[in-house]
Amino acid sequence: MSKSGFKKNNFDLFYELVRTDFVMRYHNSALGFVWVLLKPFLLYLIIMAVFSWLFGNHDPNYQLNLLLGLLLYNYFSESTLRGVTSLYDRSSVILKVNFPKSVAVYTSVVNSLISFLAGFVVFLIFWVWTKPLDSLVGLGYFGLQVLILSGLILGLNFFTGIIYTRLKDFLSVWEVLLQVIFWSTPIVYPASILPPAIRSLSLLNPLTIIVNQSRTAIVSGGDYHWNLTAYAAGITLILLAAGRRFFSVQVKKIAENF
Amino acid sequence: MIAVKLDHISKTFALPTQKQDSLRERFINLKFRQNYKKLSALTDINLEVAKGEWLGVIGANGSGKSTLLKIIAGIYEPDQGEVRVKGQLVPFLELGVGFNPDLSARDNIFLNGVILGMSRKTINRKFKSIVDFAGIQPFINQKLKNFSSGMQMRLGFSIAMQTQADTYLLDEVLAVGDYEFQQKAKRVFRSMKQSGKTVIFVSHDLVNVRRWCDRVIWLDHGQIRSSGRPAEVIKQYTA
Repeated sequence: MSKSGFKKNNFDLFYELVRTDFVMRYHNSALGFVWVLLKPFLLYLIIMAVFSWLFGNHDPNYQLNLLLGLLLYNYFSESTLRGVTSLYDRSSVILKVNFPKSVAVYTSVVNSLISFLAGFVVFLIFWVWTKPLDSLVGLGYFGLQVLILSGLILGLNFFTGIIYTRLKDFLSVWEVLLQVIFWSTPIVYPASILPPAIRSLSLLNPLTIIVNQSRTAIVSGGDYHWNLTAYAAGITLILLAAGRRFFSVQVKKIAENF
Repeated sequence: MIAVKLDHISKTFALPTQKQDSLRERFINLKFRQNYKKLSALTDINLEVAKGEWLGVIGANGSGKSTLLKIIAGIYEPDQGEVRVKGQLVPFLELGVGFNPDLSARDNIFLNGVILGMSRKTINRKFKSIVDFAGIQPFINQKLKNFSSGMQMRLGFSIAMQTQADTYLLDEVLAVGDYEFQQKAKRVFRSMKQSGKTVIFVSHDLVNVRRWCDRVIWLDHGQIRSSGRPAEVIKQYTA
C-alpha cells in the first residue's frame, strides 16, 4: 500500500515538527531562548544553596557534580514527559493524514536535547571556573553516556506515547515515577551516603550508571567502568528494540484511541 | 488501470458505552473492564476505482463515508480485507491539517506542506503560487490566529492543491471560501480532471457530486446500497 511518498520527506517533516515545538515553547515570552540557559542556571543556584549546606563537605566537587546530575536528569524527565504526550498532542493530524508517526516520537527527544546542550554550556562555564580536572579528555566518554541516555529515553517514549493514548492516567503515573527515579538516583546526594547493599542495587538503574560515569568522565576523574556502561547500553538496546516493535504494532490502531 | 482497490473491507469500532478514561472513574464505578458496544462501520466493501475516475460517495450521516476515506488513506486499519492504492495518494479530509494558530502563515505553509508529504524544497519552489492563490500576500508574516476562518481554509486549500499525487481523497472541500475562491477552486478541479487525477469525493452537495463525478456510490449503514451513474444513484438516494 502506498505510504503517500513519505520516505522522501521524513527528515523535512522531522525538521518542521522540531522547529514548531521550539518556536512554540518560547513564543510570547519576553526573554525567549534566554530561558533555555537561564532556567538551569537559576535552578542550579537554588538547589545548590540548599544541598551544599547539607552535603557540601563530603565532596569538593559536589556542586559541579550536582549540576551535571541535574542536567542529565532534567533531560530525562523533560523528554520522557514530552514523549508521553507526543502522539496524543498530534491527534488532530493523526486522524486526518497517514504520516510516519514515529517522527513525532523522535521530535519529543530532540527539543529536550537542545535544552540539555544549552544547559551544558552553562555547566562548561562553571567547569572552567572551578577547573576540577586538568582537561576535558573525558568528553568523548561523556558523549557516549549522553547517547545511551538518549536511546533509553527514545525506547521509553515508544512505549509511553502509545500507552497514553489508551490511558490518560499514565501521565500522572509517570510524573510520580519520575520523582521516584529522581530520588533513587544519586543526583542531589552522593552515592557514598548509601549503605553498600543499596549502593550496588542502585547500579541496576541505568540512569545511576549514566550519571556516575558522566561525573567520572568530566568532573571527579577516576577509572571508567566500561562493564557498567556496556550494561546500560545493553538495557538501552533491548528497550529500543522492544519499544520500536511495540510501537510499530500498536501504532496501526492508534487513530481509534482518540 | 486500477488506482484504488478495496477487497472485502470490514471495519468495526468498539465504542465504550460510557466514556471512562481514567482509573479513578473506574474505581468509583467498581469495574475495570469497560463496556463496549460494537459498531459496524463498514461491512464487506468491494470497490475498484479506475485511474482518472472521479468517484462520488454519498449517504446519510453515519453511513460510513468518512471511515471509508480514512481506511483508503491508511489512517484506520481494516479488520478484514485489503486496500491497494497505486501511486501516490494525498487525503484532504480537512484543510490545513496541523495548522498552528500561533505560527505565521509562512511557517504554517511549511508545516502543513510537509505533513501532506511535500519536501521543504518543493514548498519553497511553490511558495509564491500558494500565497498568490490564497490571496494572502500582505499577511504572510502574521500569525494564523489573526486570519479569518475563511482565509485559513483558503490557505489550506492552496497548499493542498500544490501536492503532486495520483489520487486525492476529498471530504467536502468545495464548501470553502467565498464566491471568487470557489471559482478558482473550480478551475483547479477542472485541471485535475484534465490531467487524469483520480479523485474520491465525499460530499452532501449533490449538485457538485453530479457535476464532477463519473460514478457515484451510495453508502447505507456501512454497505454499498447502489453504484452507478451519478444521476441514477442520486435519484435513488433522494427518492
